[in-house]
Amino acid sequence: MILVRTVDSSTRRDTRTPPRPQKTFSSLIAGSWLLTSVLTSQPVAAAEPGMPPVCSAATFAAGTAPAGCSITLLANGHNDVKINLTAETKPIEIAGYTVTTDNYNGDYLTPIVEAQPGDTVEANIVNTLRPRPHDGMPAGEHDWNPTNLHFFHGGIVTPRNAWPKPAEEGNGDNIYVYLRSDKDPKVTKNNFDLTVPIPGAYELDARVLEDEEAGFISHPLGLNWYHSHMHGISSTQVMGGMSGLLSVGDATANVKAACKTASPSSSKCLNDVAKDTDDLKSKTKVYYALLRDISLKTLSKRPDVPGSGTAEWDPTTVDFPQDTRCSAWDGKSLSDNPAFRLGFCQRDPGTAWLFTLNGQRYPTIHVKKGENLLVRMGNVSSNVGYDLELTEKGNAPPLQLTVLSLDGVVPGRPLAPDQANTPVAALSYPDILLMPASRAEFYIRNDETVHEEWHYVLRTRGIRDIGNDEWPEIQLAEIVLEKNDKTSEVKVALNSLVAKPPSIFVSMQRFGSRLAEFATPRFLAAEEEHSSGCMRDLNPGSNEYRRVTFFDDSVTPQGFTADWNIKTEIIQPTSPRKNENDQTSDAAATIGPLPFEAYDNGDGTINWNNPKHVCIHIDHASVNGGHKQLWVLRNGTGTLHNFHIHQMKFRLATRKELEDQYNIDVDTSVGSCSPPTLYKCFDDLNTRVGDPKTAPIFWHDTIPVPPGSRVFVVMSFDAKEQIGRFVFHCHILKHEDKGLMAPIEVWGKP
Amino acid sequence: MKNRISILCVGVGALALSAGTSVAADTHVIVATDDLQWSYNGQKSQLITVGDLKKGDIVEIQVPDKLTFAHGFITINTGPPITTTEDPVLKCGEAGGPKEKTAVLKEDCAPGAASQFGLTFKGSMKLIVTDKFKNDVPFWCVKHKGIMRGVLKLQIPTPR
Repeated sequence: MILVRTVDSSTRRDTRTPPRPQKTFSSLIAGSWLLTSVLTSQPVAAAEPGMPPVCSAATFAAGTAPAGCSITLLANGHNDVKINLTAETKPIEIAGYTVTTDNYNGDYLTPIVEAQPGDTVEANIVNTLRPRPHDGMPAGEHDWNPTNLHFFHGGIVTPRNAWPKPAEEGNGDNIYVYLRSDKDPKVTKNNFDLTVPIPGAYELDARVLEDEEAGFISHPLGLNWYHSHMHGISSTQVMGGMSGLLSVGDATANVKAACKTASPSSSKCLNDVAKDTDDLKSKTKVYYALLRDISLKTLSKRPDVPGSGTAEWDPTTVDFPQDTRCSAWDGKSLSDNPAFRLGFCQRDPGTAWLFTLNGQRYPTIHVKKGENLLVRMGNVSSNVGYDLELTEKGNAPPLQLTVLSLDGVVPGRPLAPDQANTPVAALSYPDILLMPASRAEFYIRNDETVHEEWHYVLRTRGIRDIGNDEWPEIQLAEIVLEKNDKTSEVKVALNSLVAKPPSIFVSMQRFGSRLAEFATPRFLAAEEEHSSGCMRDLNPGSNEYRRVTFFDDSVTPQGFTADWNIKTEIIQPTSPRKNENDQTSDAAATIGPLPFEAYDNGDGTINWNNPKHVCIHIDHASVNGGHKQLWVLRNGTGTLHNFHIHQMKFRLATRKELEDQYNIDVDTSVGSCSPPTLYKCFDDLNTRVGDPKTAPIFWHDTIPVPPGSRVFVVMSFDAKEQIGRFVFHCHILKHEDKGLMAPIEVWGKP
Repeated sequence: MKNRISILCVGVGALALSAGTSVAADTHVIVATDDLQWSYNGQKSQLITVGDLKKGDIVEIQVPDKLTFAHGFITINTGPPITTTEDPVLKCGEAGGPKEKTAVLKEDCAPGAASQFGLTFKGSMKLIVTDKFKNDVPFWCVKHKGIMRGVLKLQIPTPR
């Protein structure tokens, strides 16, 4: 989940300049732009940061793809983009230290997958991790150091594991795969191929993003990621580096020039949008950024001292208790002044927590004159949230972050084809909260105004007063906008999704592809059946909604003790409008409170029969129950949590929906989460100016749920890609590992 | 949440513990809520101040039965780092022990009753302000810790 503070970009500076000569994107991602260090007043700045290698059709053709990347042309004319990921316990280089962690391919710079809608992404995952005692995983065999792969965090893609197929055998985006390390590969499987088709041009049911009229969209263009999802030890494995970025669409796919109109009511563009967009893309430098942190001990050198050193990985140190100091060297001693925290902080001289971009501590990123910087950043941290902002240095003016996409989706609802050039301005924000697992594309221009060299610090403001854990203020990188003598009148727009009605041709094509896909009797059965542990779904006829409550402390029926657990209820709202707490819960449809351990058989399989689990029934012809479900997320613990659900995008519910449709008195129900705080718990559209069709509705796959609050979200289960078995959980992975996760099963006939 | 809990400072007529004085004692009721806030004197907050205590007063912590979430009460040292401490409170069953002479709060116990201090509970727990009470006493919910904090303070004497 990403939260933003709003400032309309209409106040941006007016500029004018002729366009620069074009430069191809492939030359950019091949590394033609170097990030060099600069002289700064800061104590130490890291040297040139390298970006992770990109596995795509373009880099494969250019010969710059990383080892293990392969491209295969498929019968449908699209590509299969494949990477090999070997999970291994090997030394890697992180910000001047050689550290042995659990990682992929012996490298902290894991490959970026770039694929197009219609392509298939494939990962061969092999587990050769060393056995490791783990604090988590009470129900598993930790000595085997098992792993798996959530190959498409953020994708509306299939897990391919619908009932009655064994959940662990699905070869889509399936986190129930269980791979032990190769201690005895003759007995246990230690490798697996995950093959995930990305819905192509107008193949995805547009109702998943609530387009009620238009029919079909392509898979949203934006930044997603892949990572280990092994319950009990996911925090450890992701912190070690077992993650990477996954882009749907080219890196600059969401860079778009705005349509300039004579008046706000006019729809005729005075400029050539396509030409301006090409020009903008040609002068866009792409910076993929893996935002990671790792805790180290037994340091052989101070983090701020240049040169190489060694350290030990300390994956069990994952907490920032309230009021804990985390210091940095001011030249003589450890200081609490956050200005000295250049990509690290220390609680004592022998340990450190590193906060890196692409494994580099406090890198410097240069943007040449007339060029713009597109930062495609994923917070792939296990547990840490970042509230990002740019702070100016010297004579540089304040600069905000212009957001092109959040959590892999361009904000807004899908537009009809004839509205594709509707001017939807990209918005700028003074700060962007990137919770763990969130991604953002933000655009920094250096082609608009004539200026001297400007310096900015990209930093996290720190996140405090959020409960029993908090995150420090850290300076992450320096961005240098070199002296510029160019100007430009081109404005940046949102590359809004376009939806199309289902033409006869598309319908037949879709029908045909479904016939081929579901031709086997087994798959037909999978569409129509569910496991015996299914709890009934919501009844849309009586406006039922789901309440999901997070508790702490629990003991399962099997006797496992967990730190966290989840209760799910089906609520039957009645009039008059009342506090959400006072709405009626169907006692027969309540699950838990339970931790994930209650479902875990301890051998890599899940009990789908007992206890009951959340089930969603998609059947547009009869019940329509999966469409626009209200989920009320309630946090009864003293700690911030970060709700996430797979194969899904959701948005905040509006005040009007909550009051009119569900009889919820919003103001007395949000609890401790009431504006103006860092968080939003619902979307108060009553106060928003503008056309709701083009208003910046943000789609998320994670969202923070502050202690004592309720967060109201709407999600739609409408697409065949969502059928199968997956999970919802807290994406602060140390919480997920200790119980805060629940299974979910989606079945039916979309 | 705007549901207000009414002011519940009730004079109970208890005798002040201060030797030689006879001042009507008040009961200061702090109520835990499902919003993970404390409610006191009609105000709800994640950081409350009970700033009008007198020696002999009673601080009553209530956790209503109907609440979804568990709560409890324990005193803390503010650090950093923050740590819990039982030193300021003479718990049920500790009468006659070393804390008898130092405790600034005394748990009000029925004969043989177990202490609720430092534990989650439903219902009510009463703490009597002893004549040792001088400095502020910070506390938090045993379950929700930093998100539900507060401080107990003596009333500032009105200048004559």
